[in-house]
Amino acid sequence: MTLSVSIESTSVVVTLPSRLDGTNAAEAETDLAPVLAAGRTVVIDAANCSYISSAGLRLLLILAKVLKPQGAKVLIAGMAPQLMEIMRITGFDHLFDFCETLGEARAAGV
Amino acid sequence: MFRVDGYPTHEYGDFKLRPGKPLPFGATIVAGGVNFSVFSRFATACDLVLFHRHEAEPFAIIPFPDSFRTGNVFAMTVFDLDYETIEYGYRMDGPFDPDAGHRFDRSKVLIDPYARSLSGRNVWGETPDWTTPTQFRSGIVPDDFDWQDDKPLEIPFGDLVIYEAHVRGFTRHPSSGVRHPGTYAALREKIPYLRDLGVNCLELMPVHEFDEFENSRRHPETGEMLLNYWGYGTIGFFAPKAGLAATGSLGMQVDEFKAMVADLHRNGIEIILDIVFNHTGEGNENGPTIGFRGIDNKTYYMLTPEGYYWNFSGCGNTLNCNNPMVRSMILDCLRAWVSEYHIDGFRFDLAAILGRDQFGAPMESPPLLETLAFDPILGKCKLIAEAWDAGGLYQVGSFPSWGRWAEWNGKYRDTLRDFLRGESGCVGPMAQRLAGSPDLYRWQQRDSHASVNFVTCHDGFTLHDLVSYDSKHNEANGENNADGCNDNRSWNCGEEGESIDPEVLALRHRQTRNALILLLLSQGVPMLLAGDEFAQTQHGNNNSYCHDTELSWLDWSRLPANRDLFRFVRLMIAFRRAHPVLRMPRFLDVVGHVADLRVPSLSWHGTEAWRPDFSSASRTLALLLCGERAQGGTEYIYVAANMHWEAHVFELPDLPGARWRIAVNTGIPAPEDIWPPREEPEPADPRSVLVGPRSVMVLLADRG
Repeated sequence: MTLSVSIESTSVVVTLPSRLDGTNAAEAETDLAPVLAAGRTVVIDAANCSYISSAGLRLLLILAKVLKPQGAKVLIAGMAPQLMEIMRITGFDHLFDFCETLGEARAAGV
Repeated sequence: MFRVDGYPTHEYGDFKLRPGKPLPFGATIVAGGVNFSVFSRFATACDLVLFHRHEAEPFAIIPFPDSFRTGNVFAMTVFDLDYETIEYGYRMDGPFDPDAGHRFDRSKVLIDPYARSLSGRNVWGETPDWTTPTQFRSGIVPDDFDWQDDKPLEIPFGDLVIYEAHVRGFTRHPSSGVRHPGTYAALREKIPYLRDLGVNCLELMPVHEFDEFENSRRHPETGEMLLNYWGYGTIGFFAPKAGLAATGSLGMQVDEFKAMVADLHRNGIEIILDIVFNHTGEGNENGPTIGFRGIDNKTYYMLTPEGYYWNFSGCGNTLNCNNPMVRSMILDCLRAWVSEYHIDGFRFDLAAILGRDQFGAPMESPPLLETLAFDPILGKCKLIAEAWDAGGLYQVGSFPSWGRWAEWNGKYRDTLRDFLRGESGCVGPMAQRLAGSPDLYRWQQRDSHASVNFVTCHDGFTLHDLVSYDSKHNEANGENNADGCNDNRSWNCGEEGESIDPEVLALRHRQTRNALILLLLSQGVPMLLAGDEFAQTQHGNNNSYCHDTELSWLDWSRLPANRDLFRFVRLMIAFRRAHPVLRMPRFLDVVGHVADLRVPSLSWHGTEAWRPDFSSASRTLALLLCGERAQGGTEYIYVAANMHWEAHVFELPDLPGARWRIAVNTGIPAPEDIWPPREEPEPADPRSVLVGPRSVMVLLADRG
């Protein structure tokens, strides 16, 4: 498993690894299959993630693209500011809500 | 869907392969792998060279089996490649026979002419490791940007106000106040500024991969490292320059560039790219072999009978634009920029070269230009030619257009500058320029939108310097002031360079405004040079191509000090956009009546109404435009230009039932030099106005 997925009462929490790139994005995609199928609000815990490559960003965007039309929110919690900045600069930020902490994201996701 | 071609058929070492698809050219992500396709007419063999990013030595060299070649195209699909972390190049085998035009060199790893990204100069200005034999490598990029609803804006050409800028120079200066200076991302941060100014089209100087270290050298006296800062020297026509991206070190310049385009479009601003198809960054026979020279020299370059490089570009070589293969590369490239990047238009550098045949002779009906004019994907995009080249072909007014091509109107610039500095014999030519240059374009049934009007551009003086210097001061370029244009038609207003003389300064302020107002009131499409709205200076340098320093970077600290000028430009742009008669799609006629049966659409006047003075000694000209108002009814715009050193009374044309109001008077200091809508005062005398020395007044009236 590249991503740890925990199903909680109101949302699904997906925890990102320290690096998400071309070497593990394919495996991460497999890990996300049940999340995509559930169609529920997802909180992405990015607190321990220090690098997301272009492939990783594409994977996150696909997640949001699939879930948002189903009415689910996709929140990113605790992301390092420089990663958020990269997402913004490269146009990968527009489908996500960003929260500082996991707790905040859980509350916002309800 | 099941497809049987997603599986390998061949093996080479650990690599699983399949004969590739010859089209599209370049590296394309396909089911299970990457399809590599490259054209060479004269190569006898080709290897694919694969690198891991950041590693000097390749991890694989895979020869294209002869069975993978279709015609002159080498094509191969390689399976299980991680497109994010690999880079590639080609080695070509073939004759080294310069007399016959061939310069194959099997030792060189070459970039792909169709590469969607290049690495090697990912961080601007970082000194290259010159010991690395392969300075550039090609990258693989998915074309999957989430554009949402974006598409090119298709603003009518005549409604554009173009703003020419250099990506790095726009925000590199410490005063720019952005987070990522000198990048596409920083340009996005300045979009609110562009909106405030009111321009609706951003024209970017070259963003296609070039080597800023091309011909780099230290200035012998100042020690400054001189670079190819402007970027006219493309090596990758399909790749946005990574060194201009904040995320270039991560290889994400493509996404960053697209995010910038989408954001510009969201804000109603089109984007035009300056694209340099006249030559490449490989120089002449002494230049580096980066790609084209080693892939198919004879195809890509115009060669003399002895096998040397024709130099119609002044940059060492000439791209062989009307070779059918080069033509199709150019077409593929432009199509990619429109369809993948949503680019709104192109400005073709030294475009006269695009109309030369393979031996350099100008053609009557150049197939490349015709193809671009009629291409369906380019069908709505703007095509603007710099209608001359360095080989002496000057085609302003005669560039083959098929009703599609517009031109940088060099004669507009020259005439306006001469009129501005009070040269004799300029009133007649200036009238032509104000009317959209019918003398240049009407004979071909072209309209005024064929003319992109400008008084300054990246090449030459800034506007501040145009009114502050009689001659160029290019010593910093390290060529004893020999480089750069001598035909500047500039005037320093009494003192060379910076001045503290209040009279000199007042005159410069006026001349600056006079130039801008005539530009923004002319029929045709106006183009402004970035920074002119806050008096950017290059200290008299009219050819700053090599300076990656404060000499070239926009100094935003000049903005507060020149707020009045900024306001003037902003209000003038708004004025142009508010009055349709200033941007008519057809030439206005001195005998035509559109809105008012008694007043022609366009009429010329002098100090006496209805009596223009086109004599050689005249320096006064007035223009009356009459047309339909945006909100209905009829409007009249009267422009009195007095480029004489004495004041003159201009009799106003009598328009029964309409009252004149003063919109602009450059003879009066700010803020009364220009009035916002509905605040315009009426002239003291409704029959005439006194126009000060070297001043322009604009009055308007309406009816109904």
